[in-house]
Amino acid sequence: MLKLCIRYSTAIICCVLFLTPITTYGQTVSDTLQLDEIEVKATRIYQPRNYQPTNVEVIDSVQLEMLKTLSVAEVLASQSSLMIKDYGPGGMATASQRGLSSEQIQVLWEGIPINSPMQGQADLSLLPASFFSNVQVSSGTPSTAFGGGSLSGALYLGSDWKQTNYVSTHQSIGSFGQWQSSVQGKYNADGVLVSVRGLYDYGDNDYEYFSRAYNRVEKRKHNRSKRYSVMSSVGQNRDSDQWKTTFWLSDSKNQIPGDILSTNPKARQNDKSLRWLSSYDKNWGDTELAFKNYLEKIKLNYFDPGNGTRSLSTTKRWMVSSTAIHSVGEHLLLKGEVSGELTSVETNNYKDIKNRQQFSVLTNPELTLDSQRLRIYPSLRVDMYSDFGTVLSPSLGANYELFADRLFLRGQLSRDFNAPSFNALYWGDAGDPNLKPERSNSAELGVSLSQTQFVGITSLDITGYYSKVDNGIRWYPNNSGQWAPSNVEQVTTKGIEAHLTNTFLYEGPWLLTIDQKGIMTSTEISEARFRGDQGVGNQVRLVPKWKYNASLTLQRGIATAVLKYRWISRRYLTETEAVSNSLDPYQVIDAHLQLKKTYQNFNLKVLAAAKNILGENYEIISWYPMPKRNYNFSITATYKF
Amino acid sequence: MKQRYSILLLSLVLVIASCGKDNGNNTDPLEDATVYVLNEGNFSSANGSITSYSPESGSTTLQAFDKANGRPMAGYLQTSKVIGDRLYIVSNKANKIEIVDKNSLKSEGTIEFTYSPTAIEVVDETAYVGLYQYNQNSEDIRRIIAYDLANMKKTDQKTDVSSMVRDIEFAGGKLYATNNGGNTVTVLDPSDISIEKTINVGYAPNEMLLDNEDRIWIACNGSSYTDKPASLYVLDAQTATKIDSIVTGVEVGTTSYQKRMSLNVEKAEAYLINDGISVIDMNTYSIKEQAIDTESFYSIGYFPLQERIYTGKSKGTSQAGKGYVYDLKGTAVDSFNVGIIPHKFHFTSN
Repeated sequence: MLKLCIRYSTAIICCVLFLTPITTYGQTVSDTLQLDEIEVKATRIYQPRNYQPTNVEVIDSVQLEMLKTLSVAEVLASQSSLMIKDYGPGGMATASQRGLSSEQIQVLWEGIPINSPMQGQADLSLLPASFFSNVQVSSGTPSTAFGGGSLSGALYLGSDWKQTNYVSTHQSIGSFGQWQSSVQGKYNADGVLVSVRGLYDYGDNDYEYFSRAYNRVEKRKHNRSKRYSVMSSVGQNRDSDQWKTTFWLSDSKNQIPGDILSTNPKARQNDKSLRWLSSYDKNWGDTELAFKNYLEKIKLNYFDPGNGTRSLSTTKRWMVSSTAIHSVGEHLLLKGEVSGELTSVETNNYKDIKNRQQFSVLTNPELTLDSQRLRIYPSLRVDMYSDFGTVLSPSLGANYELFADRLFLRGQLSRDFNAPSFNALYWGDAGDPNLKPERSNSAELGVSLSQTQFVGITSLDITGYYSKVDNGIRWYPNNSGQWAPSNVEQVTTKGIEAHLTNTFLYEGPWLLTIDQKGIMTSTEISEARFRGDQGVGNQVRLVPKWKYNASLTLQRGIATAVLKYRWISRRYLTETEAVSNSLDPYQVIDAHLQLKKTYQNFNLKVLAAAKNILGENYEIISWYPMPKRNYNFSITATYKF
Repeated sequence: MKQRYSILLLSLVLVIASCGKDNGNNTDPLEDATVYVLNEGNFSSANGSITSYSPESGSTTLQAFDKANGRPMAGYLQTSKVIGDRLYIVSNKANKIEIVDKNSLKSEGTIEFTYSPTAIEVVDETAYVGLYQYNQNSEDIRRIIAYDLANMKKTDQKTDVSSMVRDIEFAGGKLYATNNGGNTVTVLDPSDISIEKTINVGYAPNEMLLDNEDRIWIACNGSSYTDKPASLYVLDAQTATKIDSIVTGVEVGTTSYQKRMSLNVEKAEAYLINDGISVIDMNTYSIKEQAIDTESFYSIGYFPLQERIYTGKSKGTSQAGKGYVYDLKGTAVDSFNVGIIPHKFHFTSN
C-alpha cells in the first residue's frame, strides 16, 4: 500500500512539474520566445499540430537551411523517426516507418503522391532538401487523406514561397568529389510572384570503406552521380483567389556499382522527371474551393552493357482534383474532394503498355465540440480503380484538449490500403494481374504536451500504435525458381514513438535546443505462410526494433552549431532473429556549423559539416557500406530586395 | 586336460583384455569426424554459410567459416568440393572461390572472377571452373576455364559450352561437365579443355557422382515449368558412353540447383531425393524401394563411416533450414540446425 502511495505521489509530482511553469537553475526562460507554428498539411486536417489526431513531425525551413546541401533522404535519416534505407552516396534511398516497407509509405509533394507507380516507392536521394520549405512526417496519415499507399503514414514535402524577394547563390564542395551549385530567387510585384530554384549536384562518391568480407579497406568504384534540377513557379495572390503553377524538372545520371561483393563496372541509370502542378484557390463567402491539375512524365532507364540489359520505362500521370471546404458555424467544417487520375506505364519489361484509371471521392468533415476542446475527424473515401476494383477506406480521428494549450490526448482508427505496384501486376512472366490491394486496420493513441516551461521549454509527444496488414505483397521464388509477387503476408506491427524537445534561452543570448526521438518497433509475421514457418512471431527482416535520434542546436549571434546523433539497433537478415546473421547496430554523429552575417540587404552564410565524425563502419543495406568520416563546406550569398 | 584349461584361461584373458578400457590407440573413428553443410544463403544478403556438425557429440557450429577466419563467408554459395586436404567453396554472388583447409576451415586463398563461378574440379594443381553470366540481348557467357592453383593465376585456356555448367567431374582421364540449362554432358580433354564429345542426357543435368566402377551417376532435375521429365543417367567414364537411365518414377526436382543424390557403393545403392528418398539399385539401374515417403528434402549425403543418410530441408531464403540424419531403414535418428538453404554435405574423418 505504501509502495502504491509512493508510486502515485511520484507520478502526480512529475505531472505537476511538467505542467507548472518554473524556471530552473541557471536559465532564464524568455516569456517572449515563440516557436513557429507550421501549418500541418500531411494529414489533410487543417488544424494546428497540437489539434491533430496523430503525431506529425515537422522539419521547418530553419532546420532545412542548415542541411540544404543534403538530399531529403539524408535530412530524414538524421532528423526524423523514419528509417531510411540508404545504399550510400550515389545510391538509392527510400523511407519506411513503423516496420513496414518503403512501398507502404506515401510520399507527397504539395499533396500529390509521387511514389513511382512501377515500384510503389520513391527514391528520396533524388530530392534535394534545398527545394523544399518544410518536410512533414506523419506516421498516422490514413488512406482517407490522400488515397492508397499510406499503410505506415505519409511524408509530405512542401514548396511554399518565402515572403521576401531575394536572389541567392550557393556553392558547396565535399569529400569524395562532391560538388553542388545552386541559384534561387523570388520576386513579388503587385501580387504576381515568380520563383526559381536551380541545382547542379555532382559526386564521384569514390569513398573508402572497410570491407568486412575481406577485412580490408577498399574504395568504392564506378559510383559517380550527376544531377540537374530546376523548380520554377509563377502565381498570383488576389483578395479572393490565388493561382500558382510550378514546373519541376530533374535529370539524374548515376553509375550503378551494385554491392561491394561484385562491383558492376558498367551499369548506369538515368532518371528524368517532369512534374507540372497547377492550382487555383477561390474563397466564396464561407466556402473555399481548390482545384489542382498535375501532369507527370518520368523516364527511368537502366543499362548494364555487361549483361546486355536495357531496361527502358516511361511513366505518365495526369491527376485532377477539386476540393471544397465550407464552414457551418463554429462547430462544423465540411470538407470533401473529388479527384481522378490516369496512369500509363510503357516499358520493355511488360508485355504491353499498361494503364490505370482511378476515380476517388472523399468526405472528411471536422467537428469541434465541448467548448472547442474536443475535435473529431471522421473520414470516408472511395477509390475506384480500373484494374483491381473499388476500395472503401474509413477513418476516425479525435483530439481532446485536457489542459488549455498544454496537454492533448489524441487517437485514430483507420482502415487503409495500398494498391499493387505496376511491377507486381505486370512484370514479365512474374507479375500477377490478379493481385489484391494490401489492407490494414490501424489504431493509435497519443498524448502531446506543448511548450511547458519545465527543463527549458518542453514539448513531449508519446504515441502508441497497432496495425495489422493483410494481403501483404511479397516476392518469393515460385516453382520455376523465378521471383514472383503474391498476397502472402499477414503482418502485425506495434510500437511506441516518443519525441521530446527542450529549448533553453540563456543570457547572451544563447539559445540551446535539445531534440530527442526514441522509437520502439515490433513488427512480426502473424500467420504461417508455409508448413513449419519459423518466421511467425519474430521481428521482420531488416526492421530495427529500436531507433534513437538526438540533436543539440546551439545558437549565439552569427553562429549556429548542430550536433546530430542517431543509433539504430540490430537488423536481422533472417526471420528467426539469428544474431549471427544480422547487421550490427550503428551510431553516427554529424556536426554542422553555420556562420551567418548580414550587411544591409546582403547576407552571407558559411556552413561546414563533418559527417560520421566517429568514423563508424556501418551498413544500412547489406553489402552497401556507408562512408567513414567525411566533410562538406559551403557558402551561400543572398541579396534581399 | 591341463593344456585345455591353459588355452581356456588364455582365451578368457584375451577376451577380458579386448573388453578393457580404450587405451587411446583405438579411437572411435567418429570422434574425429565432421560433417560440413554448405548453405546457399539468401542472394541479396549474400549470407551463404558453412555449418559444422559433429556426429559423435551432436554439437553444431553455425557460420563455421566466419568463426575460423574472423570474416563472413560473403556469398551466395553454388557448390563445393573436397579435393585432397582442401575444401573449395564456389560463390556466385561475390564471384569467388574460397579455398580452405578441410579440417580447420582456415582460408588458404581466394580466387576472384569477373563472371559467376558455378562449378569446380581440381586435377593436380589445375582448377577447372565453370563460369556464367546472363546476357539479355546476346549469348550468355557459359564457359569453362583453367586456373593455375600453384601460382594462383589464370591461364589462357577456356572453352565455351552450350549451357551453364552445374558440375565438373574428372573421370577416366577426361573432364565431364553437366550443362544445366539443356540436356547434355560435355566431355573435355583436361590438357587443353577442348571439347571431345557431347552426350545427351535428361533435362537439367545437375551434380555428378563417380562410383568405384568408373560409372558417373547424374541426377537430371527436369522442369515442371517447361514440362520436361526428371531422370537419372549413368555414364561409363572410360568410354564416355551412356550405360542406362531411369525416367519412370523420378519426380521433377525443386530447383535446378538441388543436390539430389548420394551413393553407398558398399551396398550398391544410390539414394535419390524423390518426393522423399528413393533407393536405387546400382546394379539393375532401377528404383528398389522408397526409404522415406513424402518428405521434401533439398539436399542429401551418405556418410559411410556412420552408415547414415544426411538430408537438408530448406525453409526458404529468409529462414535457417534443418539437417536430419536417417538410418538405412529410413528412421530419423537425429537432427541439427543448419543455415539458409542447406545445399550439400561433406564428410571428413582422419
